[in-house]
Amino acid sequence: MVRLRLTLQTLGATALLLCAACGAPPAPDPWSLLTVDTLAAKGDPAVTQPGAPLPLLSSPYAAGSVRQKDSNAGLTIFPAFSEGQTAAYMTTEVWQNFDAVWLQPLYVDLSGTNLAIFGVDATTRFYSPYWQIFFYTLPDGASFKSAKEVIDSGVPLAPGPGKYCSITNDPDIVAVQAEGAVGPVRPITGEPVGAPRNGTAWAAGNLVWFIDLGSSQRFNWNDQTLVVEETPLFAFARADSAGNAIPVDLPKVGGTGPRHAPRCDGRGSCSAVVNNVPEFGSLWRIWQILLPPGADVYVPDSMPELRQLVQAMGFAATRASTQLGKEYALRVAVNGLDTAKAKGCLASDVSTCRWLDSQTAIEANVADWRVTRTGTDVACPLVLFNGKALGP
Amino acid sequence: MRRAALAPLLLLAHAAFAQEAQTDGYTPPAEAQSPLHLNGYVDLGWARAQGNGTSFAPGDTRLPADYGVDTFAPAVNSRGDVASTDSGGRFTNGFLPRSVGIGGHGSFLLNTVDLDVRYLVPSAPLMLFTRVQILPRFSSAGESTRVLAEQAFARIIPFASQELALTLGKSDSVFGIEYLENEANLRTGVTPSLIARYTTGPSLGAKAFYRIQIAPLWTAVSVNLAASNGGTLVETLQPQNASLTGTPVFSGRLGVEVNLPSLEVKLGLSAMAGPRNDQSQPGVRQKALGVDGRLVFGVVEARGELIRLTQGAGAGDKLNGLGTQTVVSRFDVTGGYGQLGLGFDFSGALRRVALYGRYDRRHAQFEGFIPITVDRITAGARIDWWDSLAVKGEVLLNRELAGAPNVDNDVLTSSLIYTW
Repeated sequence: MVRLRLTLQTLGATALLLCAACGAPPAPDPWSLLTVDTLAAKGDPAVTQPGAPLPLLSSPYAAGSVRQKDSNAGLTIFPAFSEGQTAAYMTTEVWQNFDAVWLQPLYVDLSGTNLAIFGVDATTRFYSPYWQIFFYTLPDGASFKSAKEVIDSGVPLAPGPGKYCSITNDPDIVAVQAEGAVGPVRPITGEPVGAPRNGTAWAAGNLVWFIDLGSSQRFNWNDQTLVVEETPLFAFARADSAGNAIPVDLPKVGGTGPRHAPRCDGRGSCSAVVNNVPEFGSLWRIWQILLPPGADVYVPDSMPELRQLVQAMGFAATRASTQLGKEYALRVAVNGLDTAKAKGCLASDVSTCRWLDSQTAIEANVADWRVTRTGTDVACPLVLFNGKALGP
Repeated sequence: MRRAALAPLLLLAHAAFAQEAQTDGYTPPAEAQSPLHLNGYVDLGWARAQGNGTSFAPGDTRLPADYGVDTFAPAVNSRGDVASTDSGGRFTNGFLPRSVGIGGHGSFLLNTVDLDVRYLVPSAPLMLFTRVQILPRFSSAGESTRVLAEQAFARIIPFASQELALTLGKSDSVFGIEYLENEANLRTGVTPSLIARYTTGPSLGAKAFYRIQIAPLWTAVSVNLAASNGGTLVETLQPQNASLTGTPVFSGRLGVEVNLPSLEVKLGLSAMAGPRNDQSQPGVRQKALGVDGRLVFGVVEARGELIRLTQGAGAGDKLNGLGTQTVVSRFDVTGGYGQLGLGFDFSGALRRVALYGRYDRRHAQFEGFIPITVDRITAGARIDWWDSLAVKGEVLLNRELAGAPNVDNDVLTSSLIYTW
C-alpha cells in the first residue's frame, strides 16, 4: 500500500511538473481585512445601500419603517454605550486574526493645491484607515499622485498628527441618513451624531475617495513600531444550556484604554480627550463578555416589540419598577434578575442597578474569566461620545 | 540614482571565466587516488554601498518597509548578502536577504569559508558530498557568524552506460542556470542577479538528472527533476531544511545543448510548482516558469535568463529563514538578466582575464501594494592566477524605475578567492 501510494505521488509529481497550474484551491485565509468596499460587496450590515431599509431606525427600535436615502449608500450608525452614556459608531474596517494594525503615511500639501496622497491603497492587507500626516509644500509646477513622486521630489516632509481616513471607491458614501431626515442619528434615542464627509485623494497613482471625520486625532500609536493602539469594545454573550457562549445583538460598550487601565473614570472624565474628541475609540479589539446568570436588559415599557426581541435573545427583559429614559434602552444590568442572594434591581429598584455601560463598570462587575479577547479588530470611529456628536 | 563612491583600488589580477560547472550542479573534478577528497575556498571581500547600505528610502514610512522597495539590490557578495537590511525599526515582513551589516561604510569582509568533503565509494557508483560553510558576520546584535550545511547529498549513477544520476539530500537547485555559479569561486562576477533569489536556493530532497547525447547533431538533451522541501527560493524567503506543508515542491529543467567545435549553445526551460514553503497550508501554491540560454563563441560568452513567479495569498503566519512573519501576501514577479563577457586565456601564472557586464530588470508586486520596477547595471572584471587564486571587482548601479522611491544604493564590491 505504501509503495502504491508513493508511486501515485510520483505520478502526481510528474503531472504537476507538466501542468504547473494544476494546484488545489487555496485554503481559507484566516488573516482577513474587510474594507468599506468589501463590506458593502458582501452585504454586511455595516453598509446600507441606497434606498435599502434601515433596520436600526425602524421597528422594533423605533416606530415605523424607514429607508436610506436614494442618493447614496450609507455607513450604518450603531448604538453603543461608553462612560455610562449613550455612544454611537460606524464600522469601516474589520480585521480577523491580526495581532496588530499599523499606521501608514498620508502626504498633505500645505498649499492645498495637490490632493492628499495616501501611502498605500486599500487593496493591501496592511492598509489601515489610521494615517500619520506628513506635510510638504508643493514645488512650483509639480503635481504628485503617489508616495514615490513625493519622496523622489526631495521636498521636506514634516511629521504631523494622526488622521482617520477610510478609503473607498464610492464617491458618495457617508453615514446612513433616513429619507427626509436632517442628518444621521443614533438609533433608539435619535440623538444627532457626527456626519462624516466624503473626500477625494490619491492612492498609488489612482483617484480614491475616503470617509473624512475631520482633523482631530482619534487614535494613538507607538512611535517605534507604528502600531496603532487598540482599545476594547465589549460585546455581550449569553451562556446556553451547555455553557457555550452565544453572542447577543445588544449595543456594545466602548472601552477607553487597555484592559484594567481605562483612560476615563466610568463617568466621562477622561484623559486623552482633546476638543471633546477622544484619542482612543476608533481601533477596537472585540472582547466578549459572557454575562453572569443574574444579568438582564432594560427595555422601556413603551417599546413592547423591542422587549420581544430581547426576550427572543434569551433574556427576561424584566419590566422595570420605574421607567427610565430611552438612553437606558438595551443597557445591561449585571444584577437585573433575582438571584438566590438578592432581588433583581429592575423589578425592585432600578437605582440599585449596576449597569455594564463603561469599561470601568465591566471590569468592576464581571469576573475576568468571563471576558475573552477575540481575534477581531474593528475600525469603528465614534460619532457620539460623552453626549457630544463627533463630526468633522 | 547616484554613483557609488569609488573605493581606493579594485583588486584586479589574473583570471578566467568560472570553470563551467556541470549541468547537474556541483561535480568535483575526478581524481584517481584517494576516495576521500577535501577541497574548499575562502572568499575575502571589500565592499561599500551608498547611503545607509539599504534600499529603504529616508522619509518613506509605508509599511511593511520591505514591500515597496527591493531590499536585495545592494548585494555585496556571491551569496547575495546585502550591505544592510536595517529598516530603522520600521516593520518588515520577511522579504529580506541576509546582511553583512556594514551599512554605508566600506569594509573588508570574510564572505565565505568553504569546506568540501567528497567521498567516492570504491566499490559502488556512489559519491557522498558535504559542503560546510562558515559565514563570519557582524550585526547590530553583535557577533552573528553562522555555520551552514550548504550541501549534503549522496549521488548514485546506476548505469555505467547511461548518463543518469540520482541524488538524495541537500544539493543544487535545478531551475535555470544561475545556481551553477552559487559559489564564489565558480561565479564570473561577484554578485548574483536580481532574480537569483527565486532560482538558486539549494534544495533538500530528491533529484534525478538524465542526459542523452545525439552525436551526429553535436547535441545533447537533458532533464533535471527535483522534489524538495522548499523549492528553488533562497532560504531567507523559504526554508529548505524543513517542509512546513508536508507536500514537496517540484521543479525541473529541460535543456538542449549544441556543442560545435567553435560554438556552444545551451537553452533551457524551467518550471517550479508546489505549495509555498513559508506557510503551512498545502493549498497555498506557487509556480514559476523560466527560460535560459548560454552562448560561447571564441572569447565571447553571453547568457541570460527570464523568470515569472507567482505565489498565492496564504493563511496564518508566514515563516521563513528570518523567523515568524505576519501576513502571507500574494506575490508576483517577472524578471531577468542578460550578461555579456569576454574571456582571454593565457599561459603561465596569469591564466585568464575576463571582463563582463550584466543588465538586470525586475518587476514585482505584493498583494495590494503598488508594483515596483527596478533595474541594475553591473560591470566588472575577474582575473585568475594559477588555478587557485581569483580576484574580482564589480560595480552595481541600481535604479528604481517605478513604484519604489529613488534611493542611493549603488555598490562597489570586490572579492579575492583562494581555492584549495
